[in-house]
Amino acid sequence: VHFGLITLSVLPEQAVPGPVEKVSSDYADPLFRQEWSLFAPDPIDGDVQIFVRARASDGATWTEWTDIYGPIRDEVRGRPFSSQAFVRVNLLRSALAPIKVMFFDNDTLRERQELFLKWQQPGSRPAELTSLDRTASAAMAERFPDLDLEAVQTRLVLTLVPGDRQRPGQRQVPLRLTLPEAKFDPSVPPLSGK
Amino acid sequence: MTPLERVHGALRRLEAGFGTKRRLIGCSLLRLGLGGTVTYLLLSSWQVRHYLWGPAGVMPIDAFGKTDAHLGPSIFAVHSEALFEVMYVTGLLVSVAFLAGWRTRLIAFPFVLFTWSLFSRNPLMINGANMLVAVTLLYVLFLDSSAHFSVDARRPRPPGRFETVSAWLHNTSLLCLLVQLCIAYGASFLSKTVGPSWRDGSALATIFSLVEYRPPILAGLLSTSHFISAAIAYFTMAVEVSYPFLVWSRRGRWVALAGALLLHSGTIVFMGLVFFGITMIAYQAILLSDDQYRLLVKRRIPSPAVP
Repeated sequence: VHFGLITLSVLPEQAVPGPVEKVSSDYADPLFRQEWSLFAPDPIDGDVQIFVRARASDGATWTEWTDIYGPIRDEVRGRPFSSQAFVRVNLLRSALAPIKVMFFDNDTLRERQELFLKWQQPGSRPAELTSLDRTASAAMAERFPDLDLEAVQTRLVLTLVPGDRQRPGQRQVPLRLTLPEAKFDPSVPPLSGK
Repeated sequence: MTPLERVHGALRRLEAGFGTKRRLIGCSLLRLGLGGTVTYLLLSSWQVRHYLWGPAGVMPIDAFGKTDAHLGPSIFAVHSEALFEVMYVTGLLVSVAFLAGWRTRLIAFPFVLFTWSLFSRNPLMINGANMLVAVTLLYVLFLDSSAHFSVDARRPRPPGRFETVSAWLHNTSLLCLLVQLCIAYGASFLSKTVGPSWRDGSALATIFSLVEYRPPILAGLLSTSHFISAAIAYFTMAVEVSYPFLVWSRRGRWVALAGALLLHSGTIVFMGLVFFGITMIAYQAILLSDDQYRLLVKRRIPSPAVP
């Protein structure tokens, strides 16, 4: 019975009737909650960049957008046992979730606008966005130790690889998602491990 | 034979099967794998522990428990930096003790508690391997994983008064672990069958053409050759779909083991998924029985000392 319910909870959504799915996922949650769609149904077909910038306390001056993810990904490739390995896991997952929900789960402009409005309310921010905001604060504090900062902002970019999703001859347009700005928080510990 | 005798016979066989602890070598190897990966996770993230799990980190303590991603309580969910530090060091010591197999039956409890707490403190850190560890922790608790390669194995085991109970718990946990592995591979297969790119075999070419998973060698070939991409994709799916059937047969286990080892070493070498690959490989240890291990190393692995 135990494994029957767990099996039901991991089957593809379409295969299990709604009420049964509810019972099985309530049962499996949280101790046995699991999801085995690794690189499935289709792998993400784009590369993620995470740009962040900060605003000085004069209220007007923004820093340049800086890619904070690329250097971490490259470092971990060279040194898989570096302290940045799990920073990378955390960042990649935090960045992919909002991209997925914004561009792939919600199709209409109206749905996307509603989602974005929801993200701007402090009470209904998903954990991934909180994680990105705090990372932005940590990264900007490390990069600009002398500046007096008041806000940070994150922009996620997904550059699609050429593939089935594009028609031949179609120009490759990266998907951009600029998140609502967040208050700079100087208390976040550094992510560089230095 | 009357039906009653038949039932009786089946029960006797069940009793005989469950009454002695099975696959003690594999379970000990699994302990090394789990203790090793959790120790590695804690040690390698030492410099960024506050960022990943601390009270002011990416999942601040004020937001803990208030998001969709929330898994459950965590002993790392504390307000004080100093207390977090103490917890982290304690967790590290516990996982080293578990790895070494020191007072394993006792240490397994804090090990399970700390490991669960680490995952639930920041659920965004959970990848496939962490998830398998998280959902199998309850079974690991009742597993006898210190019969070999451990500090405990060096001293004689006291004659257990509850040896039969302990054997039943051990064998039931072992069975649960195997079923859980089958669910993981089976579900992975099923979710791939829904995806067009796995069906037409292009999934691997897509993965390999990303900067994210660019292979250190043969990158050009792997990302452009449709034939190679399809071969790897179908191999992956074949391993996943056959796994739940093969592990129950004595000979089939070798095939399942070989397939899984090839698949996961591939993800380590070509995709750079080191932690994930090592953890998944550690779980394969429980596939083989003790005599199959002895066959494999062609030398006697000492049986646990019994006075």
